[in-house]
Amino acid sequence: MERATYLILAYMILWVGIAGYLTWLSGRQRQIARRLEELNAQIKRREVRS
Amino acid sequence: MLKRFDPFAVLALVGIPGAAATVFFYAPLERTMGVVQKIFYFHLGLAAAAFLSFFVACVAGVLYLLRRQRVWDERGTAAVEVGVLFTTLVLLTGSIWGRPIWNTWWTWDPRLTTSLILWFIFTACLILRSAVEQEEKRAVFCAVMAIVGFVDVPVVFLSARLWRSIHPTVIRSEGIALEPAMIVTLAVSLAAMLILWRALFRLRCSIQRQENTLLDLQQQLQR
Repeated sequence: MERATYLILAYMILWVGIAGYLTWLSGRQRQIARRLEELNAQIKRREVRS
Repeated sequence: MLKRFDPFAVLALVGIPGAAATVFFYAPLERTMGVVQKIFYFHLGLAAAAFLSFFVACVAGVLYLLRRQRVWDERGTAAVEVGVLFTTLVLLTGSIWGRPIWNTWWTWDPRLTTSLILWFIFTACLILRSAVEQEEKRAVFCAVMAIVGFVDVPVVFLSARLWRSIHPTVIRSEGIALEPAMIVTLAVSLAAMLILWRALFRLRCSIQRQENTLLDLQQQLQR
């Protein structure tokens, strides 16, 4: 492999790694929002029942 | 996902492309290694940010053990996670840099070996977090692991000086062994990486806080 190929490979791994982590964090945040909605719905159901 | 006015996230969005431009268009070519030496600027920035992360995790661990406040566990968790990400990237970029220079992807050099041990310690800490269910027990285990694991950080830093190592050392007692344009590039990429670290750390802390709040609400509802 050419030395420039190693350079491109290293920077690709670096940016893909950081982008992957950000995507994973974004997924976690979406999951929290979903659980929060479920919780809100649960509270409303309880209020109606009481 | 990022807070609209998180200054560190905005700075990272500007700083990282700026640092990459400095690396590719301003930094001179190193005579023996050629273009592949340009990996060095972000490789060192990542390593510095990883060390900072583990230092924060260690301090958060000590403060958690002293005060038993959940906020220190949240900060410790965020610091360990971001630190492991940065250490993984340090090991990968270093391996890719080493292949054309040392003619091998990996060698059991003191700097590389101690870095791998650091990665194992803090990855184990993350695995432990997901394995222990009791919140307080989990926080205590991780605080202790972060404090013990941090002992390896100065060992990694000094390993190339203490033992025979083929890993290059640029920061020496006589000064920085680089030419001025390279020092400027290194400073820019280091600053960009530290800003990125701060942005990721803040984001991860806020997610952990939200998860804990949600868990409390769920527990309250179940009662």
